[in-house]
Amino acid sequence: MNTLSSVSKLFELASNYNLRFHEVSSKPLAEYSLSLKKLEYQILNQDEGDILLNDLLTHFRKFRFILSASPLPFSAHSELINSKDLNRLSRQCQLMYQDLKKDIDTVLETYEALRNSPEKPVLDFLRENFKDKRSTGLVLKTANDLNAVEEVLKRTFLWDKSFSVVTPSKLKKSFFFDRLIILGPTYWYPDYLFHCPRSSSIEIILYDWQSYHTPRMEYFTKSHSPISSLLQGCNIHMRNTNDIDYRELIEVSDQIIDYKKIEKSIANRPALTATEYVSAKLIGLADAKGIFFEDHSIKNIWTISMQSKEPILKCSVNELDTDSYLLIRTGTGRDYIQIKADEFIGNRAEKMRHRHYVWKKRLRKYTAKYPAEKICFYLRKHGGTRVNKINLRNWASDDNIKPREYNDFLALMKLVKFEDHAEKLWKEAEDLFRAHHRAGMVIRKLLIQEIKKSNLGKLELEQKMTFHLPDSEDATFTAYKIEYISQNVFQVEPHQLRALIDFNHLGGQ
Amino acid sequence: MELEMYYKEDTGGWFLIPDWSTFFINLGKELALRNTGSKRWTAALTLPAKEYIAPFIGVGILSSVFIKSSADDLLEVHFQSLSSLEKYTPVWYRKNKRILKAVFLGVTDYQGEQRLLIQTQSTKAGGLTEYISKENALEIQLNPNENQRLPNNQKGRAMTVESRLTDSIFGVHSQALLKQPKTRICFVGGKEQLESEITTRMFAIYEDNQMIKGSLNDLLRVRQFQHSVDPYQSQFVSSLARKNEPDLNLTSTSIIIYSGSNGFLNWKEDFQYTNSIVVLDRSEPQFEFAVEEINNKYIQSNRTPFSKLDLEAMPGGIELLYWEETR
Repeated sequence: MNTLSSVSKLFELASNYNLRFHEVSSKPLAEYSLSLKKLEYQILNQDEGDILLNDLLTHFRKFRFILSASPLPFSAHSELINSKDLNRLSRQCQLMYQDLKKDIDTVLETYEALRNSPEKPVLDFLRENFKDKRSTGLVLKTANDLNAVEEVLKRTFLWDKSFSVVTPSKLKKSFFFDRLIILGPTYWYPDYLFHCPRSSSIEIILYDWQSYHTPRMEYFTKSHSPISSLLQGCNIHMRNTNDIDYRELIEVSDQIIDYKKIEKSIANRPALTATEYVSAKLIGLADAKGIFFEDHSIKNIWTISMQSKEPILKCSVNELDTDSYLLIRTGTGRDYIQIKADEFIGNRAEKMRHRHYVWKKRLRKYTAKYPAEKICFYLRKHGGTRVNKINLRNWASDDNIKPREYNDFLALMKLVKFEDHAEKLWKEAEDLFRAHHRAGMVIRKLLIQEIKKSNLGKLELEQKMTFHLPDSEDATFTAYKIEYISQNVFQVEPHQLRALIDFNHLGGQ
Repeated sequence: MELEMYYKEDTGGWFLIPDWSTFFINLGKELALRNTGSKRWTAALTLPAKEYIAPFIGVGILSSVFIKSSADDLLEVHFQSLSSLEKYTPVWYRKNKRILKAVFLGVTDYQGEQRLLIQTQSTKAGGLTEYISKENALEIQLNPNENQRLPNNQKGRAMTVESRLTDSIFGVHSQALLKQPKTRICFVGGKEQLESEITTRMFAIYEDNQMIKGSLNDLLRVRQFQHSVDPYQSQFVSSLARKNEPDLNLTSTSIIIYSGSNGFLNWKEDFQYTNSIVVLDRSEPQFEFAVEEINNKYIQSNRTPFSKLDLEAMPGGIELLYWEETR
């Protein structure tokens, strides 16, 4: 929340500030980017949806993005891509697509030259142009290793302790700098960095082969009497593009994974042979990861939001947004809430879970066999009060333990022919629900403690962070930045839900 | 005339309110002048921050309303509306800076003058009554709580006394006007933020060699941020509230001020026939959705041509879209 003096400062800055574009050069990086662009064109012209080619492009694009977004020497990213995997993938693609052989070779050559290059154009530019001791915030799009970046900056600007890395979300709060340096094209960053100025000097640095846009300065539709002072106070200094000898400028997307292609390849898989399947949505995560969540309205996905006061929010799959970070248990094979809940229940847990599993499975058999309308009609006829398609989908899911009302549960038991055991099963479901609720509270509390201790700026830049729960050796949760939310619904096997998928190796699977 | 208002910095010193706040106070005044029954207007703003904007616009609206209003007409209307109440209707009666529970008994002739008759004590304990003249009619207000039992011997509750800051800014004549609860403005936004801006930060006017201090709520009188029995001029609705809010008593001249994208997106359908000011912070996550809604609303509106605001020089970083529609 801005204070009154912060708001004053914002209006003061918005009345007069400079937005300067600067160029840095690196011939090897330009050559790599251009050769990759050429390869992308060739593949596009072939109209090949091949997953191997897609994997190869993903690796190459990732390398281009990280190098153009980092102030570190190029060689600092040599471990980013497994060269063995890359060479193997390249060879496979060259064997399959002979006419791409030369283009792939060119990209590989330029890649090899960059991988071990000590060149550091951004750092050199910073050192040369910002020698004064003004308080400076360096805004980065991403950083594989924030500590390494901070260490290099410390060494480079030894005399100036006021040079720090800052994230876009911090620039929403009461932070002001004498100078802000933004590394990368404007389209990598939220627009507010450029028109809600947190400094009177905003310096944008990008490579001379990168295309760029001036930030958006108009939001309202054209009207009879337009009133705007947005551009009035903003002095834009464009870069000098006279001496560029490249044939074309390249737009480097910060989204490395081609999710549309991935969705297409998932949709084109051979038909499922499993006896049971569920409807699910695909969520694309940072670090080339993905995950399926069952398509229902149960709020059982934990997220971290930089915008909210609550450190952890519970959302349904349809409430997720690309500003949030998904929290996934990564330490244990089983759901940690389930493990904790079983501890609370004691010896009875195993048998209870089995009986619970049996009626759920039988219910899913019915929902797969008969149309939802028909089942809803049956349930209503047998006393169900909150019956609708969405609730039915929720009740059939393993993510939901029981309906809220006994009437609905009894109707379900009548459907699955467990009417005689309805009372006992209801009591067990209630016990399970209470234990899960208690376990969720305990784990949430522990996680919040860990999150509060962490530097969330690091999460924002590295886009991934692991949190260890203090009372358990192997229980960890990892937060991943949400990059993509699929609008399509896929049919997947239950075991595929909530399991991390590695998009880097889809071709190999 | 410009408001020479001061605000207290966290460091303790008093400073003249900045130019941007004067711009928003004046914008509020300008919009209040267009608050006629025949047209409905919308003013949308995109800004680098939303904090304090809605309250300052609110101050501008109310100062414009109070400066041009007189209590005389109000007294007559208020007296007539009380006269038409049913017998035993619960009312509040303000007396000696206390507020008493009462029931309305009717209108009676007292020494050749029509007076309101109210009862302030239970019948069992004696049934004390009072005759209220027309000039004191504003001391009686409707009590929305229908089941009121009169106490045997009541001392009454303390109420907010008149504010000198209000007198200085709105004029002494506003005291009478402020006794009549009315929803002139409805703020829609984040509770914590608006409440802190309106009730915590101190403001002042320098008059007669002294600082006359108060909070913005002395001026805005937001119902939800003051004692329940105090007469209000504004109401507050949380951006995140569910849609079963109590009756806001909106009239055709009430103005909705949305402070932030969330409140606008959540409540826009509920207040679509009211004059609206939409304050959008460009750094908010829902900002672009809210802008899209505003643009659609503008394109689809049956707007009157050449509706323009008469504004002074605008501070940097502001975009404003204004249009009027026939009701």
